[in-house]
Amino acid sequence: MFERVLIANRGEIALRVLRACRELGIGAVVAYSEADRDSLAVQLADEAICIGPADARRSYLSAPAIVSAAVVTDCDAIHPGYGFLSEDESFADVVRAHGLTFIGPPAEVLERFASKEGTRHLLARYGLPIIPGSEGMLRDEAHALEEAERIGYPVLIKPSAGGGGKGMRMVRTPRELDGAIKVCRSEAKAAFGDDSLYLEKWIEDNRHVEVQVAVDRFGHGIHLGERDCSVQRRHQKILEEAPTPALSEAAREDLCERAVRAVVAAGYENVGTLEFLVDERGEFYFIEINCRIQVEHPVTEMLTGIDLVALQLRIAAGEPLGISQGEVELRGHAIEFRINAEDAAHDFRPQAGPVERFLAPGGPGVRLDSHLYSGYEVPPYYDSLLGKLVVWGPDRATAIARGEVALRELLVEGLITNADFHRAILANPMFLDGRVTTNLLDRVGAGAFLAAAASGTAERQRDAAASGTAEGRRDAAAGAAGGEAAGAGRR
Amino acid sequence: MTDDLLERPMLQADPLGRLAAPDPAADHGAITRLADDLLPALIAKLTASGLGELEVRQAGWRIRLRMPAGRSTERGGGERRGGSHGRAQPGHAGHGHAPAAVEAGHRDGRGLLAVGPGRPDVDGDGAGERASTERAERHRVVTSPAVGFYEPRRDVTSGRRVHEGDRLGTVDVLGIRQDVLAPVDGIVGASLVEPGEPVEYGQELLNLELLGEPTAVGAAAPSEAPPTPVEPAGTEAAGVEVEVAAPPPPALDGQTVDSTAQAGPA
Repeated sequence: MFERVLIANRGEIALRVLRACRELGIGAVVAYSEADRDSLAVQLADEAICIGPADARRSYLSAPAIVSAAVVTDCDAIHPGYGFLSEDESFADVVRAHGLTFIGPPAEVLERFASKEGTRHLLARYGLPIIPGSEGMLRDEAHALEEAERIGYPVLIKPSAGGGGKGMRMVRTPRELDGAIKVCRSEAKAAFGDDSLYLEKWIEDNRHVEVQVAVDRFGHGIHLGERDCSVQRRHQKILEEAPTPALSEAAREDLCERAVRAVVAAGYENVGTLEFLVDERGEFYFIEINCRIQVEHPVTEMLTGIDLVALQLRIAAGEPLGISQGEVELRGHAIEFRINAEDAAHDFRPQAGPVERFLAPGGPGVRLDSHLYSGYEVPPYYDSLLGKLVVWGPDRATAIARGEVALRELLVEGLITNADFHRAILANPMFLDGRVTTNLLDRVGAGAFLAAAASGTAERQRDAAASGTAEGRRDAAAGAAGGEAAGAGRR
Repeated sequence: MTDDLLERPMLQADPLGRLAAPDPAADHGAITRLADDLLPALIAKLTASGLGELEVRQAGWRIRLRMPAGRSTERGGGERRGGSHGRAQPGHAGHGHAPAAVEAGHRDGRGLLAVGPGRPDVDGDGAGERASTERAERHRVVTSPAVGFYEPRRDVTSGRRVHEGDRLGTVDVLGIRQDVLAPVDGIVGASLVEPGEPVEYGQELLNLELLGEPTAVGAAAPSEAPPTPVEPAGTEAAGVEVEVAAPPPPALDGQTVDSTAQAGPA
């Protein structure tokens, strides 16, 4: 096992990795930018080292700065967290060239899975169904039009590199395709430095289901169940849960087993996530693999009791998995709420500034992974994730109830968060029925969601006074929210 | 990696490592001195003094610094974005691009505090408070441009006169040496890091004693610029005239206009 690990990330994930290192008795050095000098991870670390200015390109995205920091602090491994350089094969290569271990898949594995398009075809060869799409990268507009015709509209234009919805457009006609290609190319070029695009058949009402896997150096692989990340806004996940309400137990088992078989055969190593789209009929299609720890990994940890970051460290250190598939037990239901500093009432405008007061919720089955503290100043330079509230219950209804209570308890004064928006989701009948598709929030509109929840609350109070039963309250809330949401959806 | 150093106007250091003098030609020397030498010292003075406004005239130039209302007694280090809190105002428009350079230097987010390039006080950390107090009036701390191992130049010893842009040492980043450059003209003072020691980004490496520091605020007095090898034309023996305008009423609260009046660092 490693002696000392450099944590090359910030926010809640830096803290999460720090905690895992502590548990395993590994020394942890936190690398930080000038804007994160007062962060909780820096305060709690055994040692912290400033690697550059606030601008991420010169700190968290600077391979020389990070590797040099690991060298001068005598670390033997680097944990990249998620985002930034976490899936950058050339960074992994530089890390190794300096005699250090990259905590994640080895560089050559990252390289093998670097191209989304290439990975789809690779895993298709190992038995995973993929969405019909273009043959290779789009050469030019004429090629794109030809391929779209063959696949059939609507199609989704996707960049080969990156993620997060950048450079991605759904088009319904040749004319739309023609206009969107240029925009996507320039977006992809700006965001990832690579403008290669491909097409995929657009599945209208899809659900996003992903399988968590872990594979050691010796080719032993397990899956740790799946997660449903269908609650999205503009291709950004905001709430995740497991197990997915979209599939039966047998279908989930089938999906997970096929996923882990395929990645083991394709030579994957370390923890990773395979993302699938599930259509209305329950058919699933592989879309991409994430070669890193994911934001939503705690959902799986709640279900399995397995520490995924510790597992990541062990695999990277060359240890065998030490768990068989039979020992992985999935219990109950978990939901994660991404608590973002954003104003849902004003187009989710990101917020920055001091946190005047902060209070974490608690109780059975409640976990909060957050780097906040009272007096902390959220810097304006990075993403708006303040933390992740994760709740667990023996069943989905209990998890939802605990989520509602915890969201109400969570106190972040000084900044506007999306906690109320999460409560609105919990009150939505589509969510309560487990029928949320990835396009729902964008189709209905965030405003309608909030309004529905607000009127639901009013009605619930009236109704509760009249009937006095919990059953009546829930029905009233669901009814009111449903009317609004469905009405907006028809527009 | 050295692009932070490229933002500033730099003087030539010759490749043999001899410490070069600034180009004595034209106004540029004076302007550079004004922008990079005098101004940071004045800013520190203003921040520390609790004054509302400060104006300096020198060699045909005039600089006025103003604290926004209610800011003059706040601690200097607590500012997140210092750039908008006052800026140099060239008095004469006739000098073309030069005054713009003075302004631009303080609009690029480096803020209004006298600190090295590696430690912009716009981030509001504790080090800034230190820098904004008396020490910063006479010293400028040279900070590390990168994470690595520090190696000072052997011939840059205490008491040595250096010019802005001179290489004072290097930081070895994975075998690639990055230059540590003098942010201003000055005299090398105490070294804060041993040769070969690991340093982090922004770490304080050595002190530079400033040349041509302004004297007491409020008492118009000539500056006593130490003898320099080549004095830029037009600034020689130029007196520094400091005008103190009326401070904003809520901030002063009976404080005397005195260079010893300091906003006490926490």
